[in-house]
Amino acid sequence: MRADDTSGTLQGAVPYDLSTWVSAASGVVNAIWSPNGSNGVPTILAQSVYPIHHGNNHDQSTTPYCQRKNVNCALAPHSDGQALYGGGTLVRQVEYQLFSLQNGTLTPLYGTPQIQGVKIEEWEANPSNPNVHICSWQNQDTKCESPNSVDPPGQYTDDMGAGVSSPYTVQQQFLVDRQGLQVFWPNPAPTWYGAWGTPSSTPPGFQPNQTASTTNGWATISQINVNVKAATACPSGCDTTPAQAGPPSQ
Amino acid sequence: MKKTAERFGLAIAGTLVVALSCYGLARAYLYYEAARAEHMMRELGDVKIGDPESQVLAILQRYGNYRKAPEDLAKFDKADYEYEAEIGPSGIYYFIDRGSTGMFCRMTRAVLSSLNPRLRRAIGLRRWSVDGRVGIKENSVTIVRGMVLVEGSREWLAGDWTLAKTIPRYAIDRFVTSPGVSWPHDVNHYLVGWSRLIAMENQNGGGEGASSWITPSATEDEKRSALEFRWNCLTSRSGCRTVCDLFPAAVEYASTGTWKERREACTAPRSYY
Repeated sequence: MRADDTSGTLQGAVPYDLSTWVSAASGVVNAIWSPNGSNGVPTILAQSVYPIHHGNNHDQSTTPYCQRKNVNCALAPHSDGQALYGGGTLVRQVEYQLFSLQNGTLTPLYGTPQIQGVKIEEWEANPSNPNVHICSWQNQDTKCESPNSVDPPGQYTDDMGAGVSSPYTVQQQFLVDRQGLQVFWPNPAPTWYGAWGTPSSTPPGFQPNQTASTTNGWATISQINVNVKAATACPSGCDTTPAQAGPPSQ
Repeated sequence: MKKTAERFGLAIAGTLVVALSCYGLARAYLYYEAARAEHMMRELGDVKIGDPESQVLAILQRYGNYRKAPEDLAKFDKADYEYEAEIGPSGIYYFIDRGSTGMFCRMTRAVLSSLNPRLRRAIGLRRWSVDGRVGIKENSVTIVRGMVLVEGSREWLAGDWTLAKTIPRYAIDRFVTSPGVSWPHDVNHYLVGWSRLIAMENQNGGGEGASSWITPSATEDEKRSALEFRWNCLTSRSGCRTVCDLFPAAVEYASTGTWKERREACTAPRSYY
């Protein structure tokens, strides 16, 4: 359409000036600004800040449990020992479970209804042997997370063994609902210490809690940046095998 | 000029014939070895706890190269020593290392490694290995294992069974004593578990596996289920899709948990290739 064609379409139109706008707006403002319902529009106040009280069936609209106020989630090993994996590979099998950390005490959360939607992730990076397959979080299919086909919500099992590969080290970070958290180990029992880890220069965003030195059939764990000022108790549900323990003698 | 073109055509035809013959021979050889592997597993499946060592050695000898397994495995199983045998000309070094693999298998594996993996899988030259392991204590059998590892269509698939006097506590704790699991069998006779393959070489990708344990007191149905493999996964051109296609006992594992990820274990394979 050319510019001069507009003349015909605008003939007879009333100019829309400020006075027109004010008269219209005053009625609308009056209608909106009556939250008590006197304007004829019933007002129902939301029960929470979220559109639906519990969101959908997966509770996805609510704040993840471990990110709520007054909730302090942590991981600690619930069981730790040697297992034969896939019929032929010996591994150190550590079952981490979710705990609540309150007043210097770890209390089990595993199995409680409030953690049914919780996702635990393990990120691994910087392996000393670049040829070994690790828990890389950059690819959907190499991610290591729980729940999975073995671990129910609130539990994550790490199987560590080099198999027939040469021994290697790898850094590990644990996350719950996409946020880093402290991982506790006994040092020695009955005192547990947590480690938030330290940011690593590579890959970006990686803050490993610990390093695993993996050999054929076992791995020893070294915590990174342990919070030695906060001795913690774990009265129930924690395994007492130290992170640095060697393989059990059969 | 005409002669040169003819020679060129002949050379191409000759190369094609040689390539097709090699491919045909390789497929036929892998079929033959897969049949041997199936027989070996059937025979090992008939071994009973307490059978004499000589009887098991006779079985392993029939399938060629066998050797003592690493000591740590025997110690773990509380056996005096263990024997292992592997059939896997196209396998990878996963359960048994390169140093313990026979020269011929090392050569055939090297040839397969040199092929483009996508092309190799597309023409149905799948990599697989079948391993048997027998633990001996005081000259009689104390534990028997069978393992199958095969390249599936999307990931590596493994299945293994163990016959032992008792099912290890760690396996019961891991696969049955969890909230949301109702295992319908007596866990002291028969158990099925699941695992993710670890420490694989990057070039191979990754995969998943299922394991079964049975004791001598398992029922006939449980024994049959624990030992069953779908052997066509080794030779099919398209490859099997999930662990449950290779090892049907895994279907029951998946169906006996309440959470989504376990229930979908048979239907949602990862994609490592």
